[in-house]
Amino acid sequence: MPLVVRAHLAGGVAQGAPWGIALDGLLASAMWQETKASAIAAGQGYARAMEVDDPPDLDLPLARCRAGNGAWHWAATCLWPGAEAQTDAHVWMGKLDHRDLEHVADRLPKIISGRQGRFRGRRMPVLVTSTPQVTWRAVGDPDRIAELLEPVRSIGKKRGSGEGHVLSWEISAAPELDPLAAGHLHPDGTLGRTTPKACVRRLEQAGCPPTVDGGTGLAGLRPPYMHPARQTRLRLPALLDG
Amino acid sequence: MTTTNPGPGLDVRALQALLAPRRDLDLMRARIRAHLDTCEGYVAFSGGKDSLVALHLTRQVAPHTPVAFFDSGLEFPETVDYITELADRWRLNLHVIPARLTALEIMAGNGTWDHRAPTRHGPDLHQVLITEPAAEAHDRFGAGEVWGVRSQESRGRAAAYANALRAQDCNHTPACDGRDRRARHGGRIARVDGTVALGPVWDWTTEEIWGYITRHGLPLNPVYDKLRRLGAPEHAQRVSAMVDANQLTEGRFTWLARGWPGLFAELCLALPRLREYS
Repeated sequence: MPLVVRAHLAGGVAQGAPWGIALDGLLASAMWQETKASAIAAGQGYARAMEVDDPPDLDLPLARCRAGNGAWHWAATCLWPGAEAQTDAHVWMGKLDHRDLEHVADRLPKIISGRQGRFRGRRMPVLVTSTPQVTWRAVGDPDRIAELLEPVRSIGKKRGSGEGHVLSWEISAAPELDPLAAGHLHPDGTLGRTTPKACVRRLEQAGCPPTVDGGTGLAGLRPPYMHPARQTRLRLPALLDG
Repeated sequence: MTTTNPGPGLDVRALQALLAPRRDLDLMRARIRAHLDTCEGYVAFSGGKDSLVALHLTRQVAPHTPVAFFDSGLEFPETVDYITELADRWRLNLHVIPARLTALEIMAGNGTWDHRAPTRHGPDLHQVLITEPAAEAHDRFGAGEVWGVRSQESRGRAAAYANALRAQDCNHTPACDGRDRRARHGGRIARVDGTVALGPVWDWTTEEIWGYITRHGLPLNPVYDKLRRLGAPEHAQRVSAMVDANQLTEGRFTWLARGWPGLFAELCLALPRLREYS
């Protein structure tokens, strides 16, 4: 069933990529937490997705969009911050805490430099999309999606610093939406996710071609998005920075 | 290729252009002319703002001087297009000197950027990307070099210029001192191998560079505009190789990931640790 997922935010969300957080990535992360917790509870081990050559696909409560040639992706978009959202460059700093090191190591070298080497300080930008709410579109099971998202209290980068705090989730069925568009396009008609060319052709044939996209480039097709096995040449979502 | 970028509100660079230049540009042009007459040589052009000003000053007195671009193999795509267009527009005597190994080959080969790869001793990045191409350019064009290196960029560069100025002989009567000495003798670095570099903008501030570029309407590398639109602060607006070991802990790759996501993903396949700094 086509649906709309909305997160009401305290301030905004910090993101590294020039497009929003993918709903399937978020759901996979929430489901992985559950899987990991049950493995630990059962006294079993688990392998991190990035440490295996061919990571398994979790059974997400989303429809699968089959693009042909065996390629497929979940029918869900990346977040759309709305037309009024603005990007702000915040800065985070990391500095070596010598006292903390003394607590965690029994012997330390005489000098640990905070200016060079692996412990050098950082002064890094983090790009925050300031917006009161963000929206995803998808095709899937709204109840199970709500169940998975309910414990998620923050999204994006720098969550420990208060970025991406979620006040509430709102998941609503949207039967009026075309399932093909709901799985690929933002509400403004721009491309909403990393998409194989075959899907773009299907959108064109269905009379709803993406109005804007982010060009073509190497990107992940489905979670875990950063895994090298998931990287392929795709049409990229419309960029947050225009 | 873009010239200036007047956005809404106050255009700071236009304002910088209005400030009266406090440099004796005639003197600097005469020094460039004398430097190239004495040593011959070339202008080192990276596609960045500083070497653009050095190139523009040089063109006014020696328009046919060879212009050398040291290609690291990891330049922004916009930089390569920009240099090609600029060479065409300004009819530059451009010579592209590729490094014998690309920066990516060196970085992927030494294992530093991949936790899973064994560490291997490989060639030094600076040696392959700068020293060797510069030596080739000197062999081809002569011992002289005009470059856009500035003191303000790093302590090392400031020290190199300061030491070189201290070592300069002055045969003027009376002997130059203070600001006069800096203007007449500063910016010249004579190396032990006999090559001599002259930095016409060696003691310029960043604001002076932008002011000069805006005042003269010089065509600017579009990478600057893109980085500025993304929100990158002045110090992060760099157009040199996309990846090297500089400014890692100041978020250099955050801007790369944001502005060039497809390229960043490709680079991460070869250099997975890039993501630790984005």
